[in-house]
Amino acid sequence: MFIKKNSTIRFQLSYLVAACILPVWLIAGFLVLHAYTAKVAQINKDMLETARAMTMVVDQELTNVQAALLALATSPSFKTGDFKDVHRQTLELLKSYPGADIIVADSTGQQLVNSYRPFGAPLPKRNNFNLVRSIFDTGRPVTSNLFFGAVTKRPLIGIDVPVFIDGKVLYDLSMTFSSDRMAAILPRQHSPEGWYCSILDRNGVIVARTRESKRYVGKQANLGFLQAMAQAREGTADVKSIAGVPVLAGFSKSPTSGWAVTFGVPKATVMAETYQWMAWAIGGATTISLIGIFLAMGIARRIAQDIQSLVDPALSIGQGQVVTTIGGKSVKETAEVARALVKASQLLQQRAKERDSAEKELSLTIEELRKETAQRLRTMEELRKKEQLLIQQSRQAALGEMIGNIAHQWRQPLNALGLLVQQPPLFYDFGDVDKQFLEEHAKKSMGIIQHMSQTIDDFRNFFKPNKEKLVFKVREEVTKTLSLIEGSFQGRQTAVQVEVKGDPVIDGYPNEYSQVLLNILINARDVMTERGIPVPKVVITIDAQEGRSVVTIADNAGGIPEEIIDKVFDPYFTTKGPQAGTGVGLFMSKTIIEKNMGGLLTVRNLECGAEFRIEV
Amino acid sequence: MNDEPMPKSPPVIMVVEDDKDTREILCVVIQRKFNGATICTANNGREGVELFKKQGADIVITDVNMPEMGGVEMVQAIRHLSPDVKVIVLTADTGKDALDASIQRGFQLVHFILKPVAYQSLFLAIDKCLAEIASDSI
Repeated sequence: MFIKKNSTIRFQLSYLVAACILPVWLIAGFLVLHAYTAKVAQINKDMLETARAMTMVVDQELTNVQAALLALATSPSFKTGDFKDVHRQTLELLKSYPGADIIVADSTGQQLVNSYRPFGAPLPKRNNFNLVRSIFDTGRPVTSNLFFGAVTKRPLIGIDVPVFIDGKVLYDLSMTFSSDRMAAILPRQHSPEGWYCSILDRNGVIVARTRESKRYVGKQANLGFLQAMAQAREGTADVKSIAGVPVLAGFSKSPTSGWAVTFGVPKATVMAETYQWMAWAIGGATTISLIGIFLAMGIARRIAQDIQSLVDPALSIGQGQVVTTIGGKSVKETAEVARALVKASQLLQQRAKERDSAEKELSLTIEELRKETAQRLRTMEELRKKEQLLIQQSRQAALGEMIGNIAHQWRQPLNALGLLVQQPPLFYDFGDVDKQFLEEHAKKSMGIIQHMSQTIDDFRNFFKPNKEKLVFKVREEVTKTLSLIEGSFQGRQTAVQVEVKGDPVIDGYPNEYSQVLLNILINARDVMTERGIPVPKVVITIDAQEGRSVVTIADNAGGIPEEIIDKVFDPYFTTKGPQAGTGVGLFMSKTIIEKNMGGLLTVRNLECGAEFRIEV
Repeated sequence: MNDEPMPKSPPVIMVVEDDKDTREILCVVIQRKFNGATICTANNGREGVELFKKQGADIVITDVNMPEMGGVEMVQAIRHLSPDVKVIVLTADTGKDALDASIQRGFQLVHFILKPVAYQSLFLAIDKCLAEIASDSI
């Protein structure tokens, strides 16, 4: 998601290298941190252990002095009050503690013996009376804090023990010695280089120190460090030293004397090592990164060159040129793509050849198709012409039929008119011609002429196609149609029987419907005449079934032969011969009923003839 | 035309014609021409046969193409009843075929007149028939 979609391989490989190097950097950082914390923990631990051991050494030293004093306190000279002997004994003891002094005082603090003075010389009272008081109050030995000698101004330490006589504390026996004695024990504990060690009294005042002892002895340790010490008997702290240097410090307090031993190491010393490791880690990681990036750039350049070298052959293939070899690929995948491109080129060439061949075939096929289409168009044109001819013939036949019917319809009135025309001269001879006769004669003649004119109108209306649908009564159309052809039926003595079972109406084209009736009736008439049926008869039924009009027209001409009954509605099918029939009548009838009016026109054979059924 | 020979008893002339106008005109004209004759009419062949059975006729003037029963069939029936009856057939071209066929079958038709009918021909035919009736009755 950080890489742009169209970035280069080099760029992407750089990302890859970065992704590989990042853990190295993280591990290096973690190792440095771990090394630092481990180092600090180790130093703290070491300091604490050393401090603990050193505390024991200090306690041991103080206990030794205390033990020597307690041994002196048991001298019988105290009981006898022979302080001269006590003075001698102290001098004897002090041979083991050079530089130290021993003082014997009573409960008021009055010095009775002072090893620093010759016996018998007048002596003052004790300076630190608090210690004397503690001895007489508790009867237990006491170690003082550091104090400076009133005369010598030297840093001193005092240890007081009680002198019991008959179970009561009578005297205070104390030894005072220089803090140098404590400083002397510090080198005994070997500590690592850079460390320093201090001994603190109960007030946190430095009693002895491994470094710059003269400068700091007698001064109170750093406040922060004192606060840390106040909270625990032993521990470590990250504080500033008395010299103001940031240090790691460890301390341990003696439960007996309340003194403490501290060790410290400047942070700079600790961090120097850490910084060294850090430098190594950063250096190493940087080197690895640079090598990685350098290698990645090299590899990327090679891959990119390989891939870019495929561009030209690919473009050539795209332009339809033949590429036979693409050489010099050092990357396996690229070499595979190159081989695939060569193969693709070959396949494309093959496809192109196939396509050319297919196109040639196609163009040939198209040419054939074109010829075939032209042939078909010609055939269709011929058919159309033939059809037009047939329709023309059909129209002519219909016209002939109409003229025949008109002729028949007119024959009677013409005859009557003829008779009327002859009447005036005849009746003139009889002497019957007068105005009345002539008026009646003219009236009668005009009536007949009117009737003849009406006949023509009827036929013209009948053959005029309906443009729009009308709702019409089936029965009326049947009657109208029969009236048009009754003459030709009459001439052949054909009985027409109409059975009205219902009075249905149709929403359609009445003239076309009548034409269908006419076609069927004329077919029936013709076939009955042709077959010489002795008593020709047509039965027409009009009925309404389930909301549809049903008209059946049955003749008694013997029916349609079974082998052609399925073909009677086919166009151009006729049994009448070319002179009489066009084969269009029933086809047109079926078209009118089924396509124009959504009905059904069927035929079947009954016992004595055919029955057509018109359902609309 | 009163000088035309007439039978002893007034002749009965039956006009069988389905066209009302023609029938009526013929009746009026024949009645006027042959004053003593009795004219009766029928609409078609079947009615003609029934009428003939009922009252008989001397001369039958008939059309050929008619509903229910044509002129030829009717004449056959009437001839069957009365072989001597005189018949005048009025026909148009369309009826001529049936007429020719009946002649071929040996059916004797004495007179036939083509439509449109000319009175002269009709009167001549009636006169001939009346003369035949007169000679028959001598």
